[in-house]
Amino acid sequence: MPLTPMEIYKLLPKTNCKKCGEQTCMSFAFKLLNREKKLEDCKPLFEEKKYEVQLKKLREILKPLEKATETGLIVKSELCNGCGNCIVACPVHVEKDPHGAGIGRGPRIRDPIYRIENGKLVIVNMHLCRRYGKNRILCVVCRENCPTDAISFLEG
Amino acid sequence: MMRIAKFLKFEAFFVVARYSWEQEKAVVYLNPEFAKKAGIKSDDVVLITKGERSLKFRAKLLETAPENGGLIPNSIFANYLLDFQNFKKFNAYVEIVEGEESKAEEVIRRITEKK
Amino acid sequence: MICTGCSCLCEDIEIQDSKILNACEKGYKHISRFKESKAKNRVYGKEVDLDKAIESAVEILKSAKSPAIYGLDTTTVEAQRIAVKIAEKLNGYIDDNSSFCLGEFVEAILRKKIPSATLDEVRDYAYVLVYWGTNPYHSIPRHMSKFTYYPRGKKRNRGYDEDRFLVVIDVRRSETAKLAKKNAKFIKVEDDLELVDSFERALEGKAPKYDVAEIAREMKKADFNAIFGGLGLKYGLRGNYEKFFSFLNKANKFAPLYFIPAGFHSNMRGFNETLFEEVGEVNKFSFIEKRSDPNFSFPELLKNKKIDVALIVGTDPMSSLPFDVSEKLYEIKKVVLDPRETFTAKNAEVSISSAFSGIECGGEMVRSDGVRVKLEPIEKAEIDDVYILRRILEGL
Repeated sequence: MPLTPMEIYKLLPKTNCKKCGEQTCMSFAFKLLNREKKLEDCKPLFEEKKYEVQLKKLREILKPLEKATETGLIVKSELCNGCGNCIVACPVHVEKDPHGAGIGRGPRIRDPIYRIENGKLVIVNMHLCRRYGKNRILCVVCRENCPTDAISFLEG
Repeated sequence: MMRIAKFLKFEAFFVVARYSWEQEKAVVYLNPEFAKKAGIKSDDVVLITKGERSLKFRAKLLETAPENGGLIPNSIFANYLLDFQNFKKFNAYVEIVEGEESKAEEVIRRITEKK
Repeated sequence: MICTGCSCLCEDIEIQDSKILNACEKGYKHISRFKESKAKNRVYGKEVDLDKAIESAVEILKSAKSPAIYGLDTTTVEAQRIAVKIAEKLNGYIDDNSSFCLGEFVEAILRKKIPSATLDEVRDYAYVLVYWGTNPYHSIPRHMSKFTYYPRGKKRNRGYDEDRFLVVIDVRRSETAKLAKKNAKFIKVEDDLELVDSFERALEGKAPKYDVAEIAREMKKADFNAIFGGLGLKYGLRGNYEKFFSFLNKANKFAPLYFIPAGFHSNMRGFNETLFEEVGEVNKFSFIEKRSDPNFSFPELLKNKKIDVALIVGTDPMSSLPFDVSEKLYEIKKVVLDPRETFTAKNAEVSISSAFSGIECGGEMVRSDGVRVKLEPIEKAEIDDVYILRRILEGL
């Protein structure tokens, strides 16, 4: 299940103390999810003993974040059989690699977002993904076309 | 705790199809709804009986398996149970049993013993 | 290189820094494991050299009263041609897996009874894509991404959600069926013959039993539609192939609709085409009676005790045939030609170790749509199916 900012928020101190540099705990939750902030930035969580249980839970639910790439992407290799639907459906590949991935072949550009190595999907160059950077959009085309849900995004 | 499902046999619908993983093992992929109804959990060993022949399979759950039954990957294990009249799908009985899933060598032995 | 893992024969496989690129997992396993569990040259359980194994094979074949040659779907067209010559010389039977796989469909295409097309044409022009009784995700994993639904084509360049209409017909909601979302339809089929009827009625503007009216409308909108039929369709038709073929032809009066068999062993279509060129039949052929017959399929020959020796090439009938057939393998002598130590090879009177076509040796194969592909092996084995079969033929 994708993680939501609300689930994170519920476990934060909810005091809006601003020690982390954010105006509210809610906005801190958003930034945690986007990996623009770290859990350690919330000082009270670590300094005050009453948050011990919450901190433990937070660490647990944020664990998938460590595995996720900068765009929130998680590939579960064991569920992938290398069908390549994601690679060919990807709008960026279609645009940048019209004679390779765009027409169903293995990528011909130097640094595609994805390619299939040894029968499994691997991420080669996340910086090309539409979910990356300042003007990112929440594109989910690859996830939508994975028949075994091997691709997921943290934010859903 | 005693599991009531252990004493029950369920009629099930099986599809035989290509499956990307674990073709070398006797694995049956049960529809989660069906498995729940039959009291079968993932990793249980089940005996599948069709006519006079039966074989033990390791049960796994798979959402894309047919309702009221499961999917058996195209393999020596599926071929032991089926015939050309029921090459892609068949009805059979399934029940929880003790022990391990059947091995391919066991099926080969059953062929060679016919010698 | 060309992947010979299935009948897609993907031509864009690259090997870079010992990584295999672009091949699906099935292809990767096929290519990367070719050195594992190699077959051994063996005669009656004893390891021998190649010459002795070939000599014994020839002896057994020579002494046969009624021999059959079987398999041949993963070898090259060149090897298939020699195998046909051996069957002819022995006055025996020849058959491959297509007799219980998609042989009837390939035969109808070769006899021009039904319209077919290439997968490259599908990529460029096809609108409605029907996967009927097949789950390409597991059987021919790159079919949809490489040829049909996902790639942009000449006349279909706006992407799958606008330029294609996907139909998935299956008895269950398979992985492929899960992809039928927007501009798509999944039909859970119980009776394939009734579904054929429904399609016919819908195209004629009558009320169908299955909900296919929308699909018929979409087909009529386009100048190119395709059905990819698998084993689910074959067995669902329960022998009524003519009804399906007649539907295809009727449908073409309303909208162009092509049929392409949805995948099998790497060169099964090659076997059908090779035999068709040589004798005018696609499988289950007897050189004594000079005709093809359902009773001449390898499983039927075994069941009815019509053969005493089989030359089995590149297939493992002990694990791939139903038990009531495979148990009969013990009643005949088996000469097995295979790169891999299969159950049948282990239990054969003669086992001869060969090479993997497309990996260790070259030649030609035929893709599921009839396109001929020259293999690009990464090694050069001296002993391959062509070499061994040629020597057997010479020995006879």
